[in-house]
Amino acid sequence: MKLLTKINRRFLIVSTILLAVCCVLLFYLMRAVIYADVDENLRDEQTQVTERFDRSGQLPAEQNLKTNRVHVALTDAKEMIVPSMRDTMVYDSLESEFIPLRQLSFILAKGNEKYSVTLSHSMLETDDLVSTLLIFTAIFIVALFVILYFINRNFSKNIWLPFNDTLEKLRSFDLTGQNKISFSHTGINEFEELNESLNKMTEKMYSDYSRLKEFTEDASHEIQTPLSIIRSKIEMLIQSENLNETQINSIQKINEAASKLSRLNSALLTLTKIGNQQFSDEQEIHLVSFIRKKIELLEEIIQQKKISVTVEGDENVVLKMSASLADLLFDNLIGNAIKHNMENGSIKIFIEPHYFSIANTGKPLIVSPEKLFERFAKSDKSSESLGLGLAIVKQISESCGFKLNYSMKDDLHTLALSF
Amino acid sequence: MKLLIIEDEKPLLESIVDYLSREGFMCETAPDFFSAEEKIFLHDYDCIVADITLPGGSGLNLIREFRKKNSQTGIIIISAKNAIDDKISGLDLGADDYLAKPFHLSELNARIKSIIRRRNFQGEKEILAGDIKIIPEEFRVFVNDQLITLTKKEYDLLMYFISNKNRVLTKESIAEHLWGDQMEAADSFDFVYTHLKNLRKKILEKGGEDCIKTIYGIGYKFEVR
Repeated sequence: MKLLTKINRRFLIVSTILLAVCCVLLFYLMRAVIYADVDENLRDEQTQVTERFDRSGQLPAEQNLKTNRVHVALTDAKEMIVPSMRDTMVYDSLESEFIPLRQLSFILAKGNEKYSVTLSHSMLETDDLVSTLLIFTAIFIVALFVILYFINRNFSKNIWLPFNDTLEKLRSFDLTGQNKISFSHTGINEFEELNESLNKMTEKMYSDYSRLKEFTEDASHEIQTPLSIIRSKIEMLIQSENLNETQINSIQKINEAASKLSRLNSALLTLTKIGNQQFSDEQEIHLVSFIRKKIELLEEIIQQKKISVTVEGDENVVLKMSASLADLLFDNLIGNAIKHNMENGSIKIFIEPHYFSIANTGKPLIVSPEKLFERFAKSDKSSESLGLGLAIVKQISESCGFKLNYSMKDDLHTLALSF
Repeated sequence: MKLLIIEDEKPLLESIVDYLSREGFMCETAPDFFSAEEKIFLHDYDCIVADITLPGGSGLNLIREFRKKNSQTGIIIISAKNAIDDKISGLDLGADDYLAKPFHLSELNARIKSIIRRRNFQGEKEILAGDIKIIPEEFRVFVNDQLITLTKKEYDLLMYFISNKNRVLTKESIAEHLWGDQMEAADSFDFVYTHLKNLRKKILEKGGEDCIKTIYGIGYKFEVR
């Protein structure tokens, strides 16, 4: 849920409750005020009536108006000594509706004659007034809330703009990319703090990353040098005339290990370099002729294994990428297809615009297809192979934005690239 | 033939000098930028082998300065950085070849010989080794004065052997020489043997001596008196 939606939803819930409470309160408040007013009027009237009666013995005249009624009746009861105020309803035959009345009853006494006087005040109009007022008030409040809601939303949108900007920048953040990101000034303290922290964080990431890159390269460089020495010394050693079989055997084992180590080191360095995007020799490569040339270079090996190779597809397909990366990528793909092939097998290469696939016969996979492209995913742990070939292929595909896919079709292991 | 080896790793320098001296080269050495600078401006060499990362400066600067005044001497860059950029800029500056560390001494030797051959126009037009005669400019090979037809790989193999005659060559170094970067791609060690077998057969057919000896477990050796 968006923050804005969340805020608005809460705002809406709270304001609805508030609105309801306000309306109820208002209703009772207004009613209380009006009742107090009516009651006061009735009491004033009572005072006038009582004064007049005391002074001149004159009873108030009967009245049956819509709003005010006066009713006088002779009464014998000793009851109703205390003037009492009450609410009642009277059926009005004219309007054929019930009219709410506020009544004040009291007793006037003259000698033995007792008169009960009931002063009534119709509450019909005031009730109408209250409800009208209430409706208007409610409308005003609702309108206010609606307006506030929109204003708030608009404001929020504007205020969150720098935040969204920051978010967008973070989304496009690429540690390996050429362009560093920096966050703009917003004038809002919270966002300013956020951006400042982000700036600090990314700066740190950039510097750590470049240090790591340097470290990897330096380490690799440092490893290559002693390896060079080991290998050169081995080469000098094997030139010796008087070596016995055990010594030759040991030297050969050292030699194998050293050369594997150096191939491993250079493959890992290559992987790091691809990751660091250190290849910039971009060229247009005519894929079909490029692949044919590669196959030609491996001709003898292919013949030796009695593999039949077909290259089919659109001669005009051009791939724009770094020449060194293309060499690496297709050497590895073709080499992989040869290496994991079998005697009398076949390799089928198919090229069309934005698509390249290479399919080869071979033993079923031992590793799962998902793990195929991982580093050191070897089908045979003891083999000479480093298990980095397809990892390099994957890394190159990723850095060039190609889609790499493995599938098993008609007993052919198929690796497909879409670019 | 006079060589200058510019390399700061002493043990490696020793090996290089050791190997190349036995090939009949006169080797001078420079372990850092300044001594290298001094030597290349004072003496003439047939070929310079230069490391890029040197104490005191970059080998690339050295090559740039040197090429301005001398275009005859061959230059090979050896670098542990294996960086494509270094390779490209090195070759742009006028180096003849680039070899990434770690390399085989036999490979370095073969490359030096090839550069000297290419640069030395008035030099040997043919290479003699026992019964075998090679005319490198025409890629033609004779055994007992009879022309034999070799595939590209067989020719490369023979040239590699002859450049390193009487030396033991490991299978790895041969495979790397023949297939270069593609070596890793195809288990090529087995194929060294096949090419060798074919080459040997072609030489023997013309009555040539079998010069290629198998050094069990390690590799091969091309023996010529």
